Amino acid sequence: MPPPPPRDVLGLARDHEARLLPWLVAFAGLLAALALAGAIAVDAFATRWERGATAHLTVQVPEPDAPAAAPATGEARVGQRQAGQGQEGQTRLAAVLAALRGIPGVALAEPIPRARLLALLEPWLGGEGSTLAQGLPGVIEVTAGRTMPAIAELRAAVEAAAPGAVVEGHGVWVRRLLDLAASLRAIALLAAAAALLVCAGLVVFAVRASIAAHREDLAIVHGLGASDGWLARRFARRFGVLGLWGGVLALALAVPALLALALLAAPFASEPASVAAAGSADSLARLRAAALLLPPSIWAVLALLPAAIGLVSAVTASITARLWLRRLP
Amino acid sequence: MPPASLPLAAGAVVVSRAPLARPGKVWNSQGMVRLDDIGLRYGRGPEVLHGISFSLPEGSFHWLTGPSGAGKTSLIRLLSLTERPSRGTISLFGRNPDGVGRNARQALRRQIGVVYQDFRLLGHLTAFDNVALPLRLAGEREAAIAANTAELLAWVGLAERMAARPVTLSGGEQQRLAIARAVVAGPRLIVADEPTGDLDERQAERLLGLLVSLHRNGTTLLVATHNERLIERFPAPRLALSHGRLVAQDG
Repeated sequence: MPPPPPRDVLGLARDHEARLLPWLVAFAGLLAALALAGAIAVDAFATRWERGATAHLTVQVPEPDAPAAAPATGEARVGQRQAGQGQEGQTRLAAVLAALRGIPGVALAEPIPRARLLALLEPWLGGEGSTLAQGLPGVIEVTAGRTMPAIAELRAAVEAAAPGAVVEGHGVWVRRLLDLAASLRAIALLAAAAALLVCAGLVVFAVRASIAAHREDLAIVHGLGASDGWLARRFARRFGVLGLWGGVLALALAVPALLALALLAAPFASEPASVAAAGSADSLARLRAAALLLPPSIWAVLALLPAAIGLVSAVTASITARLWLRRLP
Repeated sequence: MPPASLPLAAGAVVVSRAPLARPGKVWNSQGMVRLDDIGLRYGRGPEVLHGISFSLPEGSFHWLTGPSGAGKTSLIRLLSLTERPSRGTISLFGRNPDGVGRNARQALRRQIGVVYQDFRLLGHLTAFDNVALPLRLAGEREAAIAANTAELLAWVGLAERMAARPVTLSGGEQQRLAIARAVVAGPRLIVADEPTGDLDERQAERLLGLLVSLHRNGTTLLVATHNERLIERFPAPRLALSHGRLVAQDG
């Protein structure tokens, strides 16, 4: 009974040095995983910020309790008439609210209660906030419907209702924030690419070491007529598997690291359920909340990471082997 | 097909093998191996072969003789495509191996069986897998590989040593294993470099008998040796080398 065909014709599995490769690849893979997760998270946050910024704005109304003045100009009169406002005895805040609520596209316009304003200012003003309360402007939060009306239209209506009122569109700082997010995302993607390059570099060194150890055997098999492709496939298979194991180890290291980061970030989440779960005594609930806090695409990318590292390792090993084999006659 | 009268080791089983069977001897005047003004130097060193020209007709058997350092091994390396000539042209089976792509060159290599002086067996593989390797490289089916390899191991008297590693085999057994590997894929040309170098007369005659039996089936054979008794025992035309030059060619 003939023995079964050998799985490792070149004896590559006998290299003890190569057994370290999965661990080295795992650390580079961990960096790649964290960088990719960072890029995805920044992307998700940027999208959320952009959506919030374009859907919300605030209007500041100085002297909110003063009576609304009659519009001075014909244009303002038209604006008030359109909004159905400009009645006698109305405060400036109420006039602006009425003007905003009459504009198509505005889903919600609500004044921020004075107590909440004071609470927001307390960290800066301390107990003095209440004595300054009389000087504070009224602040109205405006939420858009499907599309925010043109900011110029809002400004005209607000100015007509209460001269001196200011519309804060958040556009400038959100744009800066988005620019910052784009830069962070680019840096994170570069870091991930660099980590994968490190993986490839490790494989190159390991393949060269393996070739040096099996130089004689390679020459014999090449002399028997093995094509470069046939020989390179032995290296691709061997180092692809080692890279895959490195990727699995990287995944095993990355998941707890990302969950720990998400747990730390949970109290700052916008979703109340995440905040509540983060404070829960049930560690399983906390972990689940942390996992849900991360964008789902992070888990998808992490799941693909071992295969991606395995593929990078296999292709790198094949190219390295082929380049060396070209030296043989 | 190995003849039944082959002088094999005791206990060897002789069976017919389709891969080794060739139609009757064909003497092709064009020459299946042709060397034209070949020179060879290693790196920037001196030329070790100078202006070698000869042709081997298909199905022929030639001895390659000469004292140590005459260039026999260098010529064998050229014919086994292990080296490229520094000048001149080689034609193997009507093709110039230095004028074809790497895959085509390797395909030519698979038509050449080489028996090395130092056997060049793969120590981590069993005897069976060493012999089966050329068939696996040729993409044969595993069932055919198993049958042919087992048959050939039996032919060289190693049926009982299939699972043995080369290091556990004697010198003679290793040499027979190397011959089995060289012939298993039914090559058109066999070149052997001192295949009986470290063997006693009886073992050497047995091994030469194996090779000559292949020649009788149409395989072209070139054997390098300086064993005159062996040449007398198996008379054939000879190519004689001296100081890297072909000094005599008969037949």
